[in-house]
Amino acid sequence: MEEYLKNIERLSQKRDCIFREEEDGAFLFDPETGNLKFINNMGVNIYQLCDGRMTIGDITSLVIENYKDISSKQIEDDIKVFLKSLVEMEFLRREETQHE
Amino acid sequence: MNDKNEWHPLSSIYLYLTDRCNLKCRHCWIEPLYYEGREDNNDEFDLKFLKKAIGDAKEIGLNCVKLTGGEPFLRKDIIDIIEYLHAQNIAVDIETNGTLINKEIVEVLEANGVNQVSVSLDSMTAEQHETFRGVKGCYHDAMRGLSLLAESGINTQIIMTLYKENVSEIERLVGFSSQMGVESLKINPVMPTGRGKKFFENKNNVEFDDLIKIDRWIEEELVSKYNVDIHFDIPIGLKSLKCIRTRQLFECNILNIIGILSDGTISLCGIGQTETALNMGNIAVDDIREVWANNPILQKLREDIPRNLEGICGRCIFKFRCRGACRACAYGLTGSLNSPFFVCHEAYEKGLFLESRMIN
Repeated sequence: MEEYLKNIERLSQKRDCIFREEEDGAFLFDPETGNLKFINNMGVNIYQLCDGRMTIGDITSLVIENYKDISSKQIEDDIKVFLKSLVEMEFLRREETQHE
Repeated sequence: MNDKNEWHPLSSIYLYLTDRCNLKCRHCWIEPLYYEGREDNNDEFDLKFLKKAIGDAKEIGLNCVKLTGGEPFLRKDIIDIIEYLHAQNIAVDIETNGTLINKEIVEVLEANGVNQVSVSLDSMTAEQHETFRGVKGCYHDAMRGLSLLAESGINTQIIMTLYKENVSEIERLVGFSSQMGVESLKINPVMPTGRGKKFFENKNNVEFDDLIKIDRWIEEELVSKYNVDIHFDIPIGLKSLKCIRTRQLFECNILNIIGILSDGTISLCGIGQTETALNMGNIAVDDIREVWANNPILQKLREDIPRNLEGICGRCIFKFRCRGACRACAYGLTGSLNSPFFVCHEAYEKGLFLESRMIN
């Protein structure tokens, strides 16, 4: 089955989305669509790395480095599921992938 | 997200079966007529009109009817109504003071698969409950009804109305609910509408900062200590993060509900009883599908909620879920369906509304 998000893709935060940190994470709110999602601290770190420059592969590598006790495959899968949900809720948008 | 062209199913009808009640509750927002007997009342809608309205409403999404009042069990044909709704595959919720419930009624409710019965109980002390509910003996009657319901397989909820003097009863009621084996305890702070206005004039309501403290206490201590689902009804924006993440929240689906009053008037929930400007027709003469599709009050509501909510409700990141909490209460207090909900407004004014939940 083809992957929804590929490691070479870059994601960026949708402008005008509201990001509000609370004690254990943050709320993402889109005043245009009404979408609202709570993300935990790990999610906050990943969301903030989505700057349109880093690829999903880069982000995954960074997280793997910091969580050596969790399998790389598990981290990669979890990150993809998490990012997919943010793309579907339009908190993140996919940047055009440059083909080399 | 919400505009007048978007399809909104009419999911629920709040059916105010009677404008009579056998109690004289000090806070009631409907202000029903006090009535002891269970007799015919010619002012109440005829079952044939209700059947037509239910049949029509099913075509536009109806799947649940809440029977309330007044005291719904004062209405003589309530069993016929329940049986009809059951035959139509409509889920039935009932709100009652519990005093008229007997074994026969419980059997009928069970046989007709009633979804939930909510019974009012404000204190574990007979004197306090009866002072609040205005009639001697009603505590034991309500307790008897509750026991019968709890012993049956019916999903039973206790509703506690909260004011300053019964705050100390919260844990006793939570413990009692847990011990009785009822599914849930809902705690509703008194609202400043109908007879409830007096509570606020006399400063007998629970202060806004205390509401937030009570919410945190329930979440941090009572939820894990007792085996019963506790719903403390304050708006989402004031709830703890833990509660928002893990529990069912206070959400009025105002865009999917309509009220039918005891005389057949179609209204925005029960508020039409006192705010007649929000009445939209009558099931005896009007087609509920037509009202739902074209009534200007409903069309305006769909345009405005939540996008044009005012004040703190317009700035709240939860506005698409909360929809301004109780719009009937907002209207009752200000004459506007867009005005901020008074609890959130007061919390904001006192600096109690979290910055992280506000849009700048």
